[in-house]
Amino acid sequence: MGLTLEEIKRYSRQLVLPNFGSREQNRLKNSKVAITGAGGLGCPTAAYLTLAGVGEIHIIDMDRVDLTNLNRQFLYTPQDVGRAKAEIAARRLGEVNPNIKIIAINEKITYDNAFELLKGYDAVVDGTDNFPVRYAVNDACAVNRIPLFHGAVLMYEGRAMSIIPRETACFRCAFPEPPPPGMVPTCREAGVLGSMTGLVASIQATEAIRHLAGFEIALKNKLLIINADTMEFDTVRLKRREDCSACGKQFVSKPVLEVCETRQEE
Amino acid sequence: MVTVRLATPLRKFSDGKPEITADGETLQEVIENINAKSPGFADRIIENGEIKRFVNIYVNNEDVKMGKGLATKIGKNDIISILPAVSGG
Repeated sequence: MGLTLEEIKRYSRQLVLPNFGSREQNRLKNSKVAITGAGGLGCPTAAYLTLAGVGEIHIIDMDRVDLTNLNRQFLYTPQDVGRAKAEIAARRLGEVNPNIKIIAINEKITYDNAFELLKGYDAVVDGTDNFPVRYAVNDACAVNRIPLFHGAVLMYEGRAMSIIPRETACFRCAFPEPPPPGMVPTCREAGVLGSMTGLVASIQATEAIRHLAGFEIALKNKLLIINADTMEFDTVRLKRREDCSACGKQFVSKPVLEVCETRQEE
Repeated sequence: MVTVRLATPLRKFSDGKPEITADGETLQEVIENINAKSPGFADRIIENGEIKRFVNIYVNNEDVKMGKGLATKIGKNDIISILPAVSGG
């Protein structure tokens, strides 16, 4: 399917980019992407994918809008408090770009459903906020061979990495196990600044859009660490692990919740 | 003196500072020297003489677990980064 005149005008600022033409725009138009989590990371990644013209976006989140979300989750208003995030995000972004299809999936991602839920996508952009779901999303993408664009934030620190399953290190290659409960605080406990989630989400979105358009991407086998205290951006090198329980020779991963619980018992 | 960058969850051992300096010729010595000033630090990172599975240490951006681990030699201008995973979003 080609581009309409409206689309050529709408996307003209990116269509004039070097090596970015109607072929690349059509690739975006024919892509289907899942955003896991419509929170601090999910709002801006969904917004930038919508603006760029990704053809089909599924927003997966079962949470409802809370007043405490509004320092960073810019798709919601005070009137939305108590309403389903995925539905509001999908509706609002649908108004921004009516050319694309945005679907709200009002469902909780668990280790049991992630492998079915995350099937048939060209990419997944992860904006979830806890270890059990993050490991479930990573493992499902590894098994289903879906490129995964990871981002995480804590206080003034941000992380991002891009994962092409079976080709580059996955999240479990980098961190085979989550930290024990209580060691790494959540955003609720330690705090987070909206602009930090925006910064990390912009990097995730840029990598995802470039990958979908057919460009080489920068954060393969690399973990970007952003430190807003110093504004140092470090990239550490990652390697695939042959014995990785998610993307290695044999898939043997277990739900992280189980791992956390076992460790607590110890 | 080498530079040691600490991820946010470890900064209670550095008075909240993202970066500290420490002495030591191996990674093990650097961690022990930090531990001498901030007791409890080594226990957060090392278990049974090895780096814990959920903590990564990079010397000049290379994962030491892929190399010599705690025995990694540390030079004067090296930069050590110590990080567990974070999950916030």
